[in-house]
Amino acid sequence: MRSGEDVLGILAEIAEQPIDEWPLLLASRFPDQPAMVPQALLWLRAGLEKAEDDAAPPSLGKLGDERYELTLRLASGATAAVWRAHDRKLDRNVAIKVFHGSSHGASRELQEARAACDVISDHVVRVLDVHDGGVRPYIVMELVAEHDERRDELALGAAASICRPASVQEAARWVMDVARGVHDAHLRNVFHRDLKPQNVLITPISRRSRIADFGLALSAATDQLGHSSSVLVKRGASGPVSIAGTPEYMSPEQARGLPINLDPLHAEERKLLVGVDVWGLGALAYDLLSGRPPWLATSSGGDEPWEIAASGTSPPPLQCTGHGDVIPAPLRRIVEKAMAPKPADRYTSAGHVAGELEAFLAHRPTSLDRSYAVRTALWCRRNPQLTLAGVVGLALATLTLATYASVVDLREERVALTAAVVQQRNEEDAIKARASQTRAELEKTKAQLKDEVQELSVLENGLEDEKKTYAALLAAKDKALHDADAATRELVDELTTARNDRRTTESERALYKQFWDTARADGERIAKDRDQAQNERETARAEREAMKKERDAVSVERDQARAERDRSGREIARLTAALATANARVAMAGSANRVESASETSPDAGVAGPGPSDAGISVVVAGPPAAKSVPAGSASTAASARQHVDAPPGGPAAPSIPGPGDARAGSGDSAH
Amino acid sequence: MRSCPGYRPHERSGSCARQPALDMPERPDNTSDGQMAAQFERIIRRVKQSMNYRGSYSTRDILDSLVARWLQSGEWDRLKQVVPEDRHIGESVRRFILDRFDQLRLRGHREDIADEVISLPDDATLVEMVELAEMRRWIADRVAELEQGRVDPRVAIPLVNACQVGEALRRHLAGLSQREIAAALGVSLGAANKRIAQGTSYLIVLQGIEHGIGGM
Repeated sequence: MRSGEDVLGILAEIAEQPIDEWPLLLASRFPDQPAMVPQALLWLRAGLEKAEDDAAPPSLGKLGDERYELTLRLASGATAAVWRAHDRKLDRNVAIKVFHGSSHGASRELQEARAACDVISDHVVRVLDVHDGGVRPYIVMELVAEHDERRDELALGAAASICRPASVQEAARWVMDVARGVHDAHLRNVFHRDLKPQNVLITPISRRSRIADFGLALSAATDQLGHSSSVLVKRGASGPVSIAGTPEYMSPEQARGLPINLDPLHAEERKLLVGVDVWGLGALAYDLLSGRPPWLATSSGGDEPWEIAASGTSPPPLQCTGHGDVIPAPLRRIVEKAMAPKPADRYTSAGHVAGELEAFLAHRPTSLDRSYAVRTALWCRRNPQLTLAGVVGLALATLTLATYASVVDLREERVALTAAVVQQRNEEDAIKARASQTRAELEKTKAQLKDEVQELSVLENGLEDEKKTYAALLAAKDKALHDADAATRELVDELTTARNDRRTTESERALYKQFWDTARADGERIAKDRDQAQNERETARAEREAMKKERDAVSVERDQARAERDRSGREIARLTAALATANARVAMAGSANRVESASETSPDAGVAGPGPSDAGISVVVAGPPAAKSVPAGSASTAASARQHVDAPPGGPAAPSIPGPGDARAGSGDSAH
Repeated sequence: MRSCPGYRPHERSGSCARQPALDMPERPDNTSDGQMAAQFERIIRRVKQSMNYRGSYSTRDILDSLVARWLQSGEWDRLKQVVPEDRHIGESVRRFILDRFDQLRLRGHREDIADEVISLPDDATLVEMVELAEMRRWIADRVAELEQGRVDPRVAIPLVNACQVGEALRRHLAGLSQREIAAALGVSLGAANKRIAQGTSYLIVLQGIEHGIGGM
């Protein structure tokens, strides 16, 4: 069993042999693997196809006029490969784009290349020659290369997608150069329509940008934007449209499709084509600044970049470069304006874009910078020497003015000082005179001073005594203060206690007051009741007095009645004797007449006492005369009369002096 | 289970597995060397054509991308179950594209596009585009397998460092230059070129096997 390297080594050996011998060689080298032969044949032929592509033919003799010698393949794409070549005729290095297919398949590219030949600009890779007569058509272009003095060799340029800008300013400069090239192309009625970093070549030493690959360009020389096979959508109003460009960098209207019959000489259609290239400049700047194209396929939704572009959404906003540097706001605004979704909102020309970028790079205000502060700051940044000179001049002027003002002030101060000196001299003379006078006074004063010193010593002695006294007073005062302080504290304590007592007393007094109010009300009510009872007692007393008088009157009457009774008793006794006599005589008259006459005389006789008795009969007989003697209308008199009547003859008399109980009984009786 | 790219208008059954496409070679047993060489060339050209990265799109490329998306929608798998006469690929693709445009119109602030009429090429061209889209999808699947280190056992020629070959191919398909691929893989430019060449040859051999050439 052979290893992988062995098998590949055998295949490499066989590949060196003529192609007709491959089947036999393979069969001999892999006799036990019948499947290996056809597979290896395919493998070798695939490599052969690749080798034909990769190998550098010594010349384009088979393709052209043997003028160009291909030396190095620079790049290879779907439709063509780009070679570095040597132009034998003019002895110069050129780049040749050799198409894979026949001239028929590459006819459109060749046609556009012919159109691009018309563009004359320092920022566009020039197309030098076109050859479409052979098996493989090719385009001869200017080789973007510069001589490297350090290595003493020709250094080749690279696409901006590989050779990334080192700074924001470099990216802006590249786009500015491209914009100038695009503007130059527009002036020749050529419209690129496929601006992207891959189509911008950067020179290796000077690092300038050049536009390459006008493969999708449209020019007035070409009659159609696309041919019939590229028509995808036909619209009612605008007719058939075609979609062309790089999806990641397409403008929205480009992704939706442009009419295939656009005429660059027609103003409106030209405006549309210019708008597409202006968008392309913005997209190029977007990629160079942010490191990513405006449109990227979404992984989740599965949208293609051209579909995102066609949907009308905006690309993610520019914030920082791929290295994390902040993109200046003026540059960001320029890119955003160039990439406005609506073509009418974009710059009107690529030259305008170039001017804006130039202004940004030169620190001049762009058309989007309208603030005076920004404009002033940009002017200062743009003219640092002038700004510095202005600042220095301003500082010098300020310094001069300040110095002049200082000199003026100093002069004024000098004059003032001179006047002050004169004045001080005068004052000095006066002072000297005054001093001599003062000396004399001083002598005099000295003498007085001696006397006063003596007095002073006396006073000092007195003062010492006073001090002692004062010290004693101070001690006494301190002691008094201490005592007073202690007394004050006691007073405060007492005051506190008194305040507490007072609060207690006040609360108790309030309670007492409340109690006394209640008691007073009760007393008043009791007094009223007492007065009322007094009145009642007075009334009762008056009544009792009246009753007493009546009793006295009754007593008099009773005495009179007693005397009468005694007299009547005697009369009765006499009459009884007479009656007994008469009874004996009457008994004979019949009992019926006696009974009848007794019932007609006193109906109460039955109540007073039943029973046949002699006493009862005698009372009934004596009744009428006694009743006739009592005054009419007096109940007490009548009662007294009944008492006189009911009292047993010869019995004890009723008490004459009534007591309290008698009085009440009397009054009660009187009440009855 | 892999599906083989290719379309045979004359086939009656819906299955395409292990069946050569319309322009694919017959089995080599019955062909002359010249015919076999022509078959080989067609396979090689188709695979390489499918692997080409197109930076700038033409309308045709846009249409290719739409057809590829139509393929991903499963509509083609459904149509493959129908007899070729009743497939009406053009109509299906047209409807799909119109639906896609409607979806785009619903997003953003796009102006209305009235009376859109999709202008598609004839069915033969559409079939070719479908084949190309299928081939691209097939290549993408195989490259993903290589990245995971999975090599088809039917390929007799051993593939050295399959993972790196897969990574190089993926970047090549994404349009990166060989210098960029070499830098990304951390290998020399020659090694990157070699990986791409080996990977391309592997895919061509595998595509030949899919069409009955050199199968074990």
